[in-house]
Amino acid sequence: MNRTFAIAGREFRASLSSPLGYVFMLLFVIVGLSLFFFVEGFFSSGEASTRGFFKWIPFLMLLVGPALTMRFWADERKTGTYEVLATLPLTATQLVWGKFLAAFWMLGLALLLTIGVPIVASNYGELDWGPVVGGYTGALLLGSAYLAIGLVCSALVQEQLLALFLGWAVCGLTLLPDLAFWDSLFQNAQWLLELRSIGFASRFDSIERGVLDLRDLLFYLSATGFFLYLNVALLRWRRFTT
Amino acid sequence: MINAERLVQEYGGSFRALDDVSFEIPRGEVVGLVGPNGAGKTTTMKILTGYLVPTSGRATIAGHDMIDDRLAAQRHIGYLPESAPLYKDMLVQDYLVLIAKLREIATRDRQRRLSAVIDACALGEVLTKPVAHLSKGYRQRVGLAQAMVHDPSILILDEPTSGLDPNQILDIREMIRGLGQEKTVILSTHILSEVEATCDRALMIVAGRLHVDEPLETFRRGHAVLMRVLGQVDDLRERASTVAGVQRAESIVDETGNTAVRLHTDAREGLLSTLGSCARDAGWTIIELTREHHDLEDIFRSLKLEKEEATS
Repeated sequence: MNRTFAIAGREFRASLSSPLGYVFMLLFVIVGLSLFFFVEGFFSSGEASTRGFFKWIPFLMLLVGPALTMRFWADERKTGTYEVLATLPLTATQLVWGKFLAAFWMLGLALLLTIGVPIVASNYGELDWGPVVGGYTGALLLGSAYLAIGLVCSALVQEQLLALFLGWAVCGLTLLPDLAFWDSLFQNAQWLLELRSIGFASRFDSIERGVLDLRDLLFYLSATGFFLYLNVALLRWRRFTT
Repeated sequence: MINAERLVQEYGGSFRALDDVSFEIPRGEVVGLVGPNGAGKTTTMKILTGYLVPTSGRATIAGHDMIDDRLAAQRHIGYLPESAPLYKDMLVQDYLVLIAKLREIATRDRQRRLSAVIDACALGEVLTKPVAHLSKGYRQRVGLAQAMVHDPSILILDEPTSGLDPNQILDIREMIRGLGQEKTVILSTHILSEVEATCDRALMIVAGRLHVDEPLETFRRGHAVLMRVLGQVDDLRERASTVAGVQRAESIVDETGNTAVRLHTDAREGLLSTLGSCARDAGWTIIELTREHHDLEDIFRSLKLEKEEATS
């Protein structure tokens, strides 16, 4: 446990001192705030609502998840430091949790930087804080799943940018069933609705309305667990290859 | 202490990086793993440290099987990978503290262990510098300190002196000799003099196979002697090869118009004076007569020759 935190602490500090980490975190905040204030026209509507922000969360998480994790394994293997890590008496599970925790803290920090959204909104009238709490909880859970996907992608390649693009591609697949485009094409076919239940964004809709359904939370948690386990398996398998 | 049993490592299904390598290293021995680049030294070390699982065969460290009981085995080992990879963004002291934490050194012992390795590796002056700003020599020493933080009984060092300047090399060698008093050390190198300077025993790996597993005296046999005489002497090679102790003589191109031979000898006492008197009898004027610094290449070449002779 202590050692997991030692890895997480080192990784968190490294993320904060890496210029790329900063760029993506700032990009996340800037894009998030611009979508809310300008694209969604918060000021012109003048409504005390944060919906215009939280509806974009799946897209924002997709953007930032793989970006926060791209360096974690790819760089470690590229510079050879992974050899030190892998020959320390640590289990693959400890390593993966350490990395995941660091990424999770970074995600939390990024979301914290958007706290201006509900604060500004609450100045325009009586803000319902339920959807805000739900939105941030859902964002952390959905984001966690994307971080786990990003970690797996980072463990597959040695170039950070390749890991980033791979991560975006895989995370993009999870949003594919949610596209409104299919509706016009298939006229609300039953199978489309069922397929949509594994779409990451559709699940987020109800959370963002302030309805925290246990099934939705479990969905994101199991997706996170699945990809973290995949990451552990990948590290174990690495010992059998070069 | 270290037991390698019939290690085979195949990369990509066909290429054999290691082919049936077995050896045993008792406690307190300093062993040099020598061989040309790409011979399998690093692969051997990666298997011994648990980074790689061999295609077949097993490695046992202090009684712990590296596959079934990896964590227990790894606790006994300090490992310096090739070219000392470190987190460049960290300060030296933060890095060493991190390793101490990951090695589960109790907080009350941590300061004592850290001061010990900082002292041993002479890192006092760079503690508050980022690793990225360190010279190659310092990085190598930080890597060594990292390997020694938990006071392991076994040290595995991959090319510990590569890329260092002569003074730094002497420092590191002296340190390894000191460590060898109480620890089992395996180091890899392609410089034979390094093995002679620091090791009790040498394991030579050529093309994935273990060739020599004997005490170092073996290497001292088969010295080469360079002999150069004034002018054109046609029968130099022929006559020199008849001298007792000379096993083989080969002509060397001499662009200055003199004649030179390289004599492969059994390094017996007084050979040079025998050669001197032979030259006097023959009326040659010796302008050079030296024992050649025998390097690994010579040994690889003679190994290859032996093999060819054995097969033909």
